[in-house]
Amino acid sequence: MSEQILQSMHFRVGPEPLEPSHLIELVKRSSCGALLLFVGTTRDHFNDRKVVDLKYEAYEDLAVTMMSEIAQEMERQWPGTVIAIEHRTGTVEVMEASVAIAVSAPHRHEAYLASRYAIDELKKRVPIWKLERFEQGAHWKANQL
Amino acid sequence: MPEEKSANQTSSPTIADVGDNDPERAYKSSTVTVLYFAQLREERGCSEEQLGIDSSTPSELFVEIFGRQPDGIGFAINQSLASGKESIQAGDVIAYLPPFGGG
Repeated sequence: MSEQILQSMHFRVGPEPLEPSHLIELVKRSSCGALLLFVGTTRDHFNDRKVVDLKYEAYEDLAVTMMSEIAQEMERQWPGTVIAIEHRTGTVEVMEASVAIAVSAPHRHEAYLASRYAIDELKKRVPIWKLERFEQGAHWKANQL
Repeated sequence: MPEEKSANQTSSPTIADVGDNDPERAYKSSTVTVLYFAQLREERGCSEEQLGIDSSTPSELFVEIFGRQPDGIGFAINQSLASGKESIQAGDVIAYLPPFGGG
């Protein structure tokens, strides 16, 4: 079987439901021995309040640009990493995935560090907003920095 | 002082509506696209609008639009993050970014 020339990064922001296992396929490489998949899902509570669902909004073009910037930093810091990030917009029900990040790296040390970096940086720098909807009321929830 | 004409805009007497038919005024004023998200979108009542502005920075324009300082608000110009203190050029796409909540 011939090796394809594959991109080392993949990003998507859009309303389609996520298929996190698809991201695993995108980052598999013969040069990588460790692969991590992070999936963020809607939790059913915020403090003591019951969350009905979350609704995400994005500045899509800038969001993909920022994901790309984060991924380039990851590649510089942990050479050989392969990164795929997808974030869903629109309504995300409890237990559904809002974000999926797959990272593969030569070794698990870099994979764990890169995977953590990706989600932490995404929460700080990617222009996506989350409306937490409760039984009574809704609130635009800003990430803790 | 330019007049307000668009039904979308809340009262903000210093902002000119692009839709007027005064070619001389269109020649003099700069037109920008402004994007709103999340709570700013809800407050403004639209996600996007065209505005004629005399000259300004995104930060100053925010004060004209919302009547308050852009505390905690980020800026993007033409899909790049910005400080908000840049000079606005005609044709720019300016985005006001509330604190992020992704992930």
